Amino acid sequence: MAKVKNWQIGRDMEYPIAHTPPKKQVTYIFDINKCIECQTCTVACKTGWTSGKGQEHVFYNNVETKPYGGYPQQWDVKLLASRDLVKWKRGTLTTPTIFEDHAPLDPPTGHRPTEDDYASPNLGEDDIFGRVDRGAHVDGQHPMWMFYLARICNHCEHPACLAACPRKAIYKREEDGIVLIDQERCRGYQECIKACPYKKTFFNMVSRTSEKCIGCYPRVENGEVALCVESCIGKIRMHGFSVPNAEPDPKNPIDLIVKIRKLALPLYPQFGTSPNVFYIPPIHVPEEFLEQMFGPNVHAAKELYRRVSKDRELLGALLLFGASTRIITRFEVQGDEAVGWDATGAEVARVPMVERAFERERFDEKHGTFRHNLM
Amino acid sequence: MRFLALFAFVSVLGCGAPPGGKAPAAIGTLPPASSPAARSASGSVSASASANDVAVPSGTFAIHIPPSAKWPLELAAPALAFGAEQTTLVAERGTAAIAHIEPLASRWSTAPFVNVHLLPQQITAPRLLASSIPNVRVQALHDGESIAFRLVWNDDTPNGNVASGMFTDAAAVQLPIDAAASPMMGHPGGRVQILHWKALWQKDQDVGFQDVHTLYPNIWSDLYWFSPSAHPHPVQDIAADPYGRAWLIALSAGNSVALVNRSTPAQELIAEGFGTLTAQPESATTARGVWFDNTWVLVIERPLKTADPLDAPLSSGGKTQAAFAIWNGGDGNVGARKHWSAWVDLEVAK
Repeated sequence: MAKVKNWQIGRDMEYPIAHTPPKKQVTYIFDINKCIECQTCTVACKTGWTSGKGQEHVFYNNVETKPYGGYPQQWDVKLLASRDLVKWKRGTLTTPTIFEDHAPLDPPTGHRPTEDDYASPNLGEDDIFGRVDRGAHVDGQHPMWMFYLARICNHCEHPACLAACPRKAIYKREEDGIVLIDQERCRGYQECIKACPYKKTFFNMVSRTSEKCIGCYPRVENGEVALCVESCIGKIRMHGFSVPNAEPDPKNPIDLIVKIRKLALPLYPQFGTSPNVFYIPPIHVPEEFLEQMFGPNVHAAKELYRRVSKDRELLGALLLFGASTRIITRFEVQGDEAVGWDATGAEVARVPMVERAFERERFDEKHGTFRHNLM
Repeated sequence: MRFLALFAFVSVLGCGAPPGGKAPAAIGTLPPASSPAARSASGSVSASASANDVAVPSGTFAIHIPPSAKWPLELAAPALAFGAEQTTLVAERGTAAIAHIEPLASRWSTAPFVNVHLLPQQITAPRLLASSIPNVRVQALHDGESIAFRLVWNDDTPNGNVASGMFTDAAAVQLPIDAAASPMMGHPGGRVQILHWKALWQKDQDVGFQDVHTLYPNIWSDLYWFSPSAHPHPVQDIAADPYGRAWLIALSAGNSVALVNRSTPAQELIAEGFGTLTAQPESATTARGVWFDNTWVLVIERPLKTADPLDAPLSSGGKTQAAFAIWNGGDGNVGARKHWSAWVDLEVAK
């Protein structure tokens, strides 16, 4: 066991392997307030990477409905239910992580999904929490709620899959922090599947090895965003980098949103893997539920999101979501535009701070007809 | 228990077992004429019921597997016989060829055996908490050219498939390459050779490669990129297509666990400590395992002398050691979650 820093839980923690953080860490932000669960990301990823034999159940990317959905089924609920209640004290996790709550010779605390758990990716889809009783009506805000949770591998700073692999077949790349399974070395023991709290490693019964989200590394090496990010029609995703344990850079949109404004939060930080997909929590969902999922900063993040129009820098960063197929590493708000540059210094995005609207003449004289202006 | 198990085996197949719980054959005697053993002589399985043996033309496997065979094979349950129990494993030398010796060949019935005690692995992570295979009976034979080990252990369920949460039975023989190598998969500087067999690979050989539709007959997939054939898109066809093969990632990466046309259910590996297990690109080791009567009977065989410096040195008249490991797939055994033994002294007779 080694002592490692975990800023997401506000303290150092025990981790089975001593390691140095990567030079930079691939990081994603998902604004799930905007997600409509169209699954375009899922299809883009599936078509691009996992259409092989034995990969039928492999979804590097999936979108599920909370609170009842999950792929594999109950991936998170099973782990939560098997562990003690989580406690935070002023931003510090006081209960043990999955690396700290077991005997020294045991792998990280986890569970292994069954075949049936992989059988119905859409179970629970669009199910709401609460019941629509007779006489129910909308009075300002819906009393029922649900939300869509888009998920990929978190390319964790302290991966449980990597810690659990007895063959050391899983590695975290020094150059960008992407976590990969060495397909030459894996012998299919499925320890990673049991250990990953997000269940984003999968066993391929044809290759007889485990496989996981590759972070679209061939694209990242060329400065391009992942397939799931590029294909997102709702522009809910931003793909970038952050430097671990460094002073956050306010010109880096990822750092501004995650580390400076703290608008986007990690998924289940209490597990201790320090995940690198950050979620802007859905503002209509009760905080009791969100705190379990995103940690103790949910209230502040929701409040900030409600008044984001008053924070021009933050708004500028958010407007660059889905604005380019290139990875934006630096941005600025210039007048009424937000501008993004990639790692080569090329300008790759320029978006207006306020969406331009045009009002056309009501009567089209050329065609002799009336027009409708739709907002 | 074996007596009862034999009866159950016969009665399930509806082969004339008398009512009342009396089995037609006692341990060590032959099943009646209507038993599966006799049926097998008519062609479905050519294992002979006329002797406690499977007649083996040298150099071939005698047990013919029809394409439609169920697995595990419906073998007769011959009595397993062993020579005297010893504490040192002695590989006796015979004049008959050892190459491709069958697990049920008569020569095994007189070869001495060592009852090797197995412990659940609890030295390194991940541990095996509970033991389900307490011992394995081990014999060895050689002919000056090849050496064969026969491993016999009890396992109620033959597990020969893998999928999410599904694991295969397996066994391994470990031999030291460097003297004084740790029995626990060697140590840095103390290398060991491991001869590994899996029921999964045996099943691949016996009844065909475990494809997706083998395990899930109702599977449907709209798309397998570059699959040259139609539903159910046999994986061998995909592997043979240069574009389709790119979707079999581990196979494309040269990972030997991902082979779809394995020539033997065995693999040679070396290790020098936990986590260092590495498959050898060339493998002269072969194996054959059969399951019946709640028992696995496995033969693993390799050339006695080889030019490969990564093969453990063995020679006629030589003394070395061997250790053994068994995995019970039905109990979730995989990787380090296994049963293993300490070193057992091994003498290769002159």
